[in-house]
Amino acid sequence: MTAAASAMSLPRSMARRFRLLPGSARAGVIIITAIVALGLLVPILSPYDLYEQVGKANAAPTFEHPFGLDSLGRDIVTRSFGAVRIDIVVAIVGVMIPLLIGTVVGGLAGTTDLRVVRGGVGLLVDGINAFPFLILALGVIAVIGTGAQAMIIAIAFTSWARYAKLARTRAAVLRDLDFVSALRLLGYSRARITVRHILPNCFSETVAYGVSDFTLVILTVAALSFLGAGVRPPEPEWGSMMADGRIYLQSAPWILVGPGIVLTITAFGVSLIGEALKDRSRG
Amino acid sequence: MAELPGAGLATAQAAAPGTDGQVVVDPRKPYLDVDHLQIGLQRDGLPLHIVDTVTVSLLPGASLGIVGESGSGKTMLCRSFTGTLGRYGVGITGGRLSIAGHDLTNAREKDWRPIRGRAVGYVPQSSLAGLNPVLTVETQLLEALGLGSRTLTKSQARIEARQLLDMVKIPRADAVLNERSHQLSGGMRQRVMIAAALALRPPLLVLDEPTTALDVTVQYEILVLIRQLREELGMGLILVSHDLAVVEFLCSQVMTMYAGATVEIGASENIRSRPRHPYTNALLHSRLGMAERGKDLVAIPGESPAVGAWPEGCRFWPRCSSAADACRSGAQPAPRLVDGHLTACIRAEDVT
Amino acid sequence: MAGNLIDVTDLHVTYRTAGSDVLAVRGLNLTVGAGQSTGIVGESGSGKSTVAKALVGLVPPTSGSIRIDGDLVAGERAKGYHRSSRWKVQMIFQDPYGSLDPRQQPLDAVLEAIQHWRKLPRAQARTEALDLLKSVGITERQATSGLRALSGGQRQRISIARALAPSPQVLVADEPTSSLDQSAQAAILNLLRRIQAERGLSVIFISHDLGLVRYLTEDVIVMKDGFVVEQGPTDQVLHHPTQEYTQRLIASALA
Ligand SMILES: Nc1ncnc2c1ncn2[C@@H]1O[C@H](COP(=O)(O)OP(=O)(O)OP(=O)(O)O)[C@@H](O)[C@H]1O
Ligand SMILES: Nc1ncnc2c1ncn2[C@@H]1O[C@H](COP(=O)(O)OP(=O)(O)O)[C@@H](O)[C@H]1O
Ligand code: SF4
Ligand SMILES: [Mg+2]
Ligand SMILES: [Mg+2]
Repeated sequence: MTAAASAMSLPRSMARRFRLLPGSARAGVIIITAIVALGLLVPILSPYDLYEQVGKANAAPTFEHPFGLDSLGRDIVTRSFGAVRIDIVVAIVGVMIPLLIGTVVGGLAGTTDLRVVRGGVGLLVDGINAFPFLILALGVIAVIGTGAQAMIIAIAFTSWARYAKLARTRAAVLRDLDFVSALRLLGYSRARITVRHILPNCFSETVAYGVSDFTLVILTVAALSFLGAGVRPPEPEWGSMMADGRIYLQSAPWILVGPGIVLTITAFGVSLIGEALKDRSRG
Repeated sequence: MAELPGAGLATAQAAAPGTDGQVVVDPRKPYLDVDHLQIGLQRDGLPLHIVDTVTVSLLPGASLGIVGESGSGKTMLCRSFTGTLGRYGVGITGGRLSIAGHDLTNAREKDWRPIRGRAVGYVPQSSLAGLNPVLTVETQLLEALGLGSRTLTKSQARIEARQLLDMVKIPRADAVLNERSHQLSGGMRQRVMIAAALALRPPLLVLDEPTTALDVTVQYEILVLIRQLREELGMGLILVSHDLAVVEFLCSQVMTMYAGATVEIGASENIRSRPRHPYTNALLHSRLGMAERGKDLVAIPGESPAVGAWPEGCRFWPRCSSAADACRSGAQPAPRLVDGHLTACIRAEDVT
Repeated sequence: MAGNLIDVTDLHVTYRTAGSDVLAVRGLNLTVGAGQSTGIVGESGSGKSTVAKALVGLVPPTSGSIRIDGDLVAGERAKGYHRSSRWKVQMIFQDPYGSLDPRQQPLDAVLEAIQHWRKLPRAQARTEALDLLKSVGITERQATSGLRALSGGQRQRISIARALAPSPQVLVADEPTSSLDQSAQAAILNLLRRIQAERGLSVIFISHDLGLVRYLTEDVIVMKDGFVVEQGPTDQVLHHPTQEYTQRLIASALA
């Protein structure tokens, strides 16, 4: 197959996969695609600036400003969707990096015959897992400071251990299955069996969980910002926007509602996809 | 169809306990009556049939073997006899089912309670894994004996549990009572499962592939045990297996299932010597007993169709060597009487 | 010894577990010529699978030696299996659901094995893999779909195709049909017999079912508790068993 042909077949195979998804997961994919597209387009297309005051502070929703204006008089629709950029990037990085590290470390620990490695990784992983997530995250932030970058590191540092645990369990089951013996008899090296056969199976397990963690990470980002440890204020971000809204809950509830709606829809779409993947990895 | 005289039934009746769940055995009426039974579920809003249709009835004390390929619906049928379909999101979707005179077609959980264990004893498939690994054998037998729900003192129940183990001929029964499943061999575990199913002396015992996971010597011992128990207790038997030899060893009648449907029912010897359905015929010929070294075994070509992908007409036609045009359209043929047994083949007279 | 494909002398295998040592095989001698088939029968726990695993190099013998086609693969000063000998012996396992990588398409599984042993252009290797799968009764459509929809019998066929990819001389089949139903079993046995004849394979066939062993093999070994109870030509052992244990096994077989 030529490179061009395989490049052509990529979108086609993606389309086929999409069609094979169960209905709810397809709805999830459509929701997320729409949110991301709006997130990228709204700040550009919107007549209002992300950071500039465009009207009276705490103004109620109107036709021009469907979600109303925030305490600094900025358009909440524009900012709610502007937040997609940072929130989704944080979530992708905050999930993908720990997922990758966790699966590989856990998968190798579950496969190796070296007692020391197995025990050592087990201790580390269980130790991190035993700690409450938010406390650890706050601890990391205390050391490296606030801001989006610090937050990603905090999340990655705490969540890789959960993937590692999942992957380790899966790998330990897989390595005792007969197919591993069959592949050894075919002369495949240990490294090849681990990398090409055991780790991919671990990934299908962890990715399913990763997708649902996506929601969790978005909520964590929001929670950390809410506690003042996340994204710094002028940057639009759902958590800090909602924290801001909390103060005006009585007089201007729309400040909290706007980002809340977008956040909820995103979380809903992601969890639809996550459920489908989980079903599949069990199959 | 009646084969065992009612003699042994008195014990079964006398032992059937409780005031609410009176199991009444009328020796002239079928104990189990299954009429055009359908079992299915909803998938994506559409009905999906797993069993469609089974018709069979069994007099008290009679024995029936059910054979068929993997996926033909044997286990689902057995589950319907014990009201345990619901745990799989599956249910009876048509036809009629009655046991000991109770119509159970639309029975709810509370209707099943007096039937399960009392009217029908059940040893599920892969029951080697069916014992709870953390409880002792005694605890599980006491549970089966209904301690707590029945007016039975603990010491009485203990004695009964011990008697149950003797009944299934477990050596060192006293020690086994205090052991857990991982300490028992496969054959012992199967004996304990049978003992639990017999706890309330049901007049009918349903065994789903009781020996498939066991090696030949142990299989033989278990089959002999089941035969002895039937003679002692006069109970009816339904035995599922994919091995015709096992079924013939224990059952006077055989039912063949294919793709969720009854395709043939008749007396065991009759079926073996004169099968009148091409599928049963092929199953018989795929047996090793008939093979010579160096000659091919008769294998049925292709695979049995998956649930939801049954072909039009006779469901067996894509694999049938006798198929004619008439077989390829219409509904699954209804069983009819040919040569003294029921067969669901429109060309039954021509099967050789 | 020259001429024998498999030559096992005084094989002992002991598993060292935390509690106590399990003497799984206690002295087994075996010679198999090219194209011949030998059966191993015995109740569960008698050590059959351990013999199989020792033969293919999955467990190390505690003593004794194993020669495959002249190469000393186990025993004193043995080199173990190497690239020059690894392809010669392949194995089929009992559990069809654990024998395949759950994420790999059947075609890729066979393709990987072919390409591991021969440097072929991908298109040609693909054609060969499909041919091999077709020869065991797997269509191109089944070969290029996921494993989920495949029955136990079909999975066993794929395992066989994968094991045949390096063109082995010996096939060890450890209860390959124990978890299949009767008609699927017949189909797999026919297949094994056919490929044995076509490729001149030596087959070690393990089963607790005497009927299967009688049907498939010329010689048989009867094992119990790790010991060889009886050994010889299948017909002779089954028709004139000298040991009580063999007689009991025969009596237990139905039909
Ligand atoms: N909850 C369910 N949803 C969908 N299909 C189901 C469900 N339960 C069972 N089936 C399907 O129904 C069919 C019959 O299953 P069943 O377990 O009764 O087969 P069986 O004859 O007992 O096979 P075996 O010999 O392998 O035990 C199978 O194809 C199975 O996949
Ligand atoms: N990995 C292992 N560790 C310890 N004991 C084992 C192991 N594998 C098998 N055994 C023991 O070795 C004996 C022979 O087992 P096996 O060769 O699997 O018998 P068979 O295949 O005839 O059923 C049994 O007692 C079994 O419990
Ligand atoms: S009805 Fe036709 S296809 Fe069906 S079993 Fe009879 S001959 Fe075969
Ligand atoms: Mg079943
Ligand atoms: Mg074994």
